[in-house]
Amino acid sequence: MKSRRNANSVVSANDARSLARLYYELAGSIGKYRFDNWHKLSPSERGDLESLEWTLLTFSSDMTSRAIIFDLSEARSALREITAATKRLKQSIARLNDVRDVIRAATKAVTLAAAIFSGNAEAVASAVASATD
Amino acid sequence: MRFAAAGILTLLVATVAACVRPSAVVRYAESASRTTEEFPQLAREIHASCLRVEAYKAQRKSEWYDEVTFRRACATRDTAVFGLIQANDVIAAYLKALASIAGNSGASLEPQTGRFVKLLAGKAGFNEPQADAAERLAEFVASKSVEGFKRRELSRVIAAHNADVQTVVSTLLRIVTQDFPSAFNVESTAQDNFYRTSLAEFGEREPLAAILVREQRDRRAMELMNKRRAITSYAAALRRIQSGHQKLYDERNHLDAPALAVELIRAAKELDSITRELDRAFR
Repeated sequence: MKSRRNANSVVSANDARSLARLYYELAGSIGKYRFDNWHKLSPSERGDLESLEWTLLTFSSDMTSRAIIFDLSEARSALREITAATKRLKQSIARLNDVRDVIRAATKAVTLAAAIFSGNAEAVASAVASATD
Repeated sequence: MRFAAAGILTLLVATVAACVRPSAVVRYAESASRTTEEFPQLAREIHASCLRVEAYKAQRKSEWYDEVTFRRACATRDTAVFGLIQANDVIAAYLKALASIAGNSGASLEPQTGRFVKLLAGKAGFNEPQADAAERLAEFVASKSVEGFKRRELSRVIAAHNADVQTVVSTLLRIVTQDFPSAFNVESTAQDNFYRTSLAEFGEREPLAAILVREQRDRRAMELMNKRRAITSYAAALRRIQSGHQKLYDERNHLDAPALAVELIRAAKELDSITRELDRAFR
């Protein structure tokens, strides 16, 4: 049995749309945190946050393209977990005060998105587990 | 005498109306076809939006960048847009065929290969049944028999293709109303990130330059807003095409009904107005 899945078998078009929306909102949350705390953050912390924002925004954009490209009827049950984990990360970013915690949460979101794009079910499961820690 | 004149007048009006009615189908189908021809500009904007996001990102990273890098990053979007344009072209060509048949004018259409359309529609988010619908419409438009169709066969053509028209237009509508706005949302956030961060970093040190940067940001935000409006307009056009064809299907055995003619002319006027809006948006 192949452990590596084709990327388009992980999510359907509608799944991709939901994830694109979530990642778009995640990028927005980090941007809000960065601007709300602009004067409290060091240039390096701002740079780290901005870089994570761009990465999350790129994932959102790629998910949108994927939604246009793929429309598979087979939706995977992993999606529920991916969505729940991403929503949890978004909520925690909105609540966190310490920039290191925000960077850690955003990095988990990036890892999760990368796993989704890799199409590797094991990587997705591992990233979901890490995101829910 | 007065009654006789009134009778003649009524007869004359009825005759004129009867002549107008088939042309209402022509008018509707021609207007709808013209509006769908505006789609490629809108669809290409979705690819261009991806390129602009990549440019904002690269500029913030202060790395050297070139067009090839952006094109590579947006290749998936480019493929999707190409497929969408092909699927939309099938609807445009079908509507043109409908106008030719209704007008007894003989079709002069660019043939589209069904299999090619199916393949590309598949690359544009159409699932198997949706791509099959696009393929069937493309095959109909490409078939030589379109040239031979006469007005009396109009209702048969409408009946045979209504389901496929509804499927293809619904699929396009879903993509235009869901995925296109998402793409512009991403661009809007990228734009805000780029300008707000740059102004936060350098605005105080260079206040005059900051004014110019703000003006540029406002201009770009306005351009993006106009493109969002164009999406809304095109979605309205697709809905009008969908409901208009459904109405033709429902009334296929009474295509000369005055009420249908009134409705089709109204739809045609709305579609003409949308075409003008889209023209302005991309001028």
